[in-house]
Amino acid sequence: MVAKQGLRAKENIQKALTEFVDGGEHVIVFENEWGHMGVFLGSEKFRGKNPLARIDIVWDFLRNRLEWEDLSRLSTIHAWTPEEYDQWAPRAQ
Amino acid sequence: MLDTRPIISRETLKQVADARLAEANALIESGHYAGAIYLAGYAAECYLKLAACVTLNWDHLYGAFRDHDLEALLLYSGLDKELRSDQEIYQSFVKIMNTWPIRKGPDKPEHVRYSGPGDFDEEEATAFLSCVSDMKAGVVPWLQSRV
Repeated sequence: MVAKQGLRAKENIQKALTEFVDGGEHVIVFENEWGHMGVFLGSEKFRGKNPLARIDIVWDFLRNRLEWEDLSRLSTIHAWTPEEYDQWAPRAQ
Repeated sequence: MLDTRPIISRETLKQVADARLAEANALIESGHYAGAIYLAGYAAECYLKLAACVTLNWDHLYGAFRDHDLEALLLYSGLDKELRSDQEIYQSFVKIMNTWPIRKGPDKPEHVRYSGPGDFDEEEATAFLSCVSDMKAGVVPWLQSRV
């Protein structure tokens, strides 16, 4: 049951963030070691913004699209510009 | 093997946390923004450890909790579910957790401890301190009401 909820949250977060970055190229959603969700994001929307403001942008976007049950499972947010994403995001296997 | 050596008493841990928060406010007043963020984050960590001690009925913080992972400490405190149910507080917690330490990438951590004086400005430091100590949305007042 818990695993199912986690899978659903992961899918919903992935779907919403794919919309956020205008396509799926710069989105990776992962489950962290505590069973919660984390994301690697690359977007122009983060350019010139400090780390806290970047998290607010993601948060405000998701709050309007996800149920709190799903959003409250998201704890790690790596919010980068496309260049930072290319440098730091894990490569697809 | 669980490290059960006592590090600090609950009472002293609370004093340390309050002192770090006061120092963070003093640093922001004097324009030392990276230091303010570092100490405010540390105060939040201390309060999470204190909450874990209270939940586990420990008089001291033990070596097993020599951990800086705020998400892990929140789980140990037993307050994870309650904190995640409060949207405003949880948003503050996520911001603290993802800024302190700054994680640029999984293999490229850039700890705020190693930040230079010019790496943060007043706006960032003020926003961070608000996440930690704002009476309505701050994680520390929320924890203080539970320990």
